[in-house]
Amino acid sequence: MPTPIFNYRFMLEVLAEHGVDFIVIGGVCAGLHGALLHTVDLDIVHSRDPENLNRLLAALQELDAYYREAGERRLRPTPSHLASPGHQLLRTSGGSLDVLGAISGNRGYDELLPVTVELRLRNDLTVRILDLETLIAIKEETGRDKDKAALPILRQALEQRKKQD
Amino acid sequence: MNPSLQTDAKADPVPFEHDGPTHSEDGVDLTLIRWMLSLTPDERLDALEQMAQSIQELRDANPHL
Repeated sequence: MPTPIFNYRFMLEVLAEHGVDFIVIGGVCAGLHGALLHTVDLDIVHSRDPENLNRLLAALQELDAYYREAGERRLRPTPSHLASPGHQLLRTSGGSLDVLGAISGNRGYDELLPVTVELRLRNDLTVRILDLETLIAIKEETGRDKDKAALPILRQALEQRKKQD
Repeated sequence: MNPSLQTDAKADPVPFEHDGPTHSEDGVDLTLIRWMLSLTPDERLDALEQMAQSIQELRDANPHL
């Protein structure tokens, strides 16, 4: 198994360079909001608009993405995979990348877009991330153990941020 | 003296100061959150990458665990 890489910035840059419409969720989203959770992959929800799927596929090709649970075979994501609401768990040259068609409650890019914020990073890199209140609400809904464990940290990040505002 | 333990008066200053509680009632380390919030989003992304990399290096150095 290859040594894991954690180059979230590189993955974000490649996605942005290809003009992919996506929303960062999960641990990287939490971290960008100031809640430091242990995370080893970048989770995104992408627009399943056909043109965006083409852009996403091109970005994934540049990232040399393949399914990380496919054993020795390097199974690549296809347009039909990416058009589904399912979760594509990929390994890329920048690290693990989870490409999600939809998350709990069958919410996809279009449903989540109104509850996002845009962050400007260096080198003119702009990324859209889920807002912290929604991230907390989604983790409350899913009720998985790992999500429940993250909740106190997320809530405190929200509390501390409000105190600073 | 182990260089990693050396103190250096020229070292970067502590990035922030705060008089609030160090932990919440449910045990969350508030100093860590306040430190993260003191960073720019870019610096937070760097911190996430560095944390994941550090944990991986510890794992690699201790394959028997």
